Amino acid sequence: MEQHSSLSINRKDDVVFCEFIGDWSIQGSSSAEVQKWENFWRSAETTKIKECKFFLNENIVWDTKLVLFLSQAREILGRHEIAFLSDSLPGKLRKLVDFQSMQPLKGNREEQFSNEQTYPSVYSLISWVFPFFAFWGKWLFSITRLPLGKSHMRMGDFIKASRDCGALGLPIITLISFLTGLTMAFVGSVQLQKFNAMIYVADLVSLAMVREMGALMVAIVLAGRTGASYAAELGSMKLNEEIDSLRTFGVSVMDFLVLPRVLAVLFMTPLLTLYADFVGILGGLTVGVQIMDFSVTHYMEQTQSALVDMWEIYSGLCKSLVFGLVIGLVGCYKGLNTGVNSSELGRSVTSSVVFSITLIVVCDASFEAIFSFFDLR
Amino acid sequence: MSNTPKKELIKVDNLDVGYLRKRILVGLNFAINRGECTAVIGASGCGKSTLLKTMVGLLRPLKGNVLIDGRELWCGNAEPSAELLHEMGVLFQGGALWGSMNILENVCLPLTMFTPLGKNEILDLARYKLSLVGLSGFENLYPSELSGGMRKRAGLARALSLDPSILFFDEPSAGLDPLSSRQLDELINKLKENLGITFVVITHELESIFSIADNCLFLGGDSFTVMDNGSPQHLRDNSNHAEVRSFLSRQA
Repeated sequence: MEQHSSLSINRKDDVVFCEFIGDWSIQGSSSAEVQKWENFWRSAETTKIKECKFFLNENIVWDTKLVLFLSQAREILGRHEIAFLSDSLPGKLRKLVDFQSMQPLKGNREEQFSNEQTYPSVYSLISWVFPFFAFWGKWLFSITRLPLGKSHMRMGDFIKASRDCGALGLPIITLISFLTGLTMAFVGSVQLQKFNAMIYVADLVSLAMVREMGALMVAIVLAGRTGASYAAELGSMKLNEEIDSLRTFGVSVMDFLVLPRVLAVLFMTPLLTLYADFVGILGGLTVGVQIMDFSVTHYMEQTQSALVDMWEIYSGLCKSLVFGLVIGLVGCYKGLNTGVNSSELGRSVTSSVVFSITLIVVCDASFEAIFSFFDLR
Repeated sequence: MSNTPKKELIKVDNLDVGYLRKRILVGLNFAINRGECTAVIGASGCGKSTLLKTMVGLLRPLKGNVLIDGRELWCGNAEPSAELLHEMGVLFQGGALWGSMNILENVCLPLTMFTPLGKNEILDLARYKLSLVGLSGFENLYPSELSGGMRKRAGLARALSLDPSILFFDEPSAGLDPLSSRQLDELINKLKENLGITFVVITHELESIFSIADNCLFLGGDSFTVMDNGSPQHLRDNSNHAEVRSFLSRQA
């Protein structure tokens, strides 16, 4: 049979008798008894009570729950200046209750030297944005040391980082840009069919790819692939004090860790973008040749005439340079500024991806606005 | 002018350490002598590690300065100069080895970056440092493949790579079995005698304190500064503070 905890409170003149019955363990049922106890003290005329005696029923089950209850009860009674009589409780329980109240809460150190100030939210915005720009500045400063030969950057690190984000990223870039080109061709063909201008699929795919989609797709893939890996790598180095140990040797973390990674992604993004443009056009070509029955030559000639101005390609590459910079810097910044535990690390990796994709899209829109303002389209 | 080196190697001058909103230790003044081993002791959370961070150039002090051989570690807004940092080696609690490199490369890295030596000389030097800490034959292992004690010894070899005159240890015996921690103590004593290195060791281990330390700095909880200073035996028997005496004799 399941037992319920219960508390019987009886008052006799100026003495209160409390008996604990049933299951007073943390697995035990309700906390209604605590409520009952509190209500009793709220309603009772406490001034007339002198003592409060506690008993345990014979077949009671108890653990910390009862200890906690009793020590809180003692505190309440103390406030009302009522004697807490625990003589009839078992010795073990009494000792636990005494032990609990022997641990005074120490005032903490922050209070002693508190110079807490409340800053307005503008300040917190600045304090959030400023370090990021300071990081860009330090990176620019670090890059100027490179030609002077004073940099701590190792060429091997740069080459390894370039391989990681460039060559090893080729399969996913191939797949994504091929499918992007293919999809655009399908979507475009449906519309262009209405005007009997199917061949302009070639223009549509090639222009969209080189101007916009190539750079954007590569940037998004790299933000998820490379930027996140930078954040995770540097973040875990920080957690293991590896960053600190570099600093104690006087090694500039900016030169040694950030510079090779950001340079690698900065150089690799335009190259990957060129490659993605090419593969995307191939995707369009596949649809053009297989579904719409154009000849390869016809389709390629049409593509060539669409891209008669190299500026179309250059503008995409301009964007991709900026995207690369954003991915590298955001990834490294988030990694180096991670908190001191593993959940913070997860959060910095996530926020590096979110933040760089946001910045990429914002930069992309700004580029388009600038191009159109200066009549560059 | 005499050429004999000054006895004081590290001087801490009216130092406040802590973080922007939280001062941890205030008004620290002490000196550490050349060739001695100083143990920094105190209850958990009293700011030992924070003090260490400031002394090795990781955390800017709120006030005051650390002087290494008469030169200021923290000047202006600049990071501490690399030259001064190379006088010091630091062994972190977990070793803090660079996980992407094997232990030989770990020891080689500072040598490659800060010495004009050729590749073979550097490899020889690094192998020598690893043999000094008893890790010959393990050169090609990565930090993740090492046990806790080996990681610490590898970290020590790396800290020794640039022949520093001061070595800082953050809890060398934490997480080690009694045997390994005694071996590490013996290694510290050997290095102190043979290479004349000055040690600053943060530790809780009483046995370790009495076997390696010439001098103890007791950082006090309530006063937020150095409570007492002296040889461990002296502090245990004659300190004016009951807390220090009971800490060192392990009495509650």
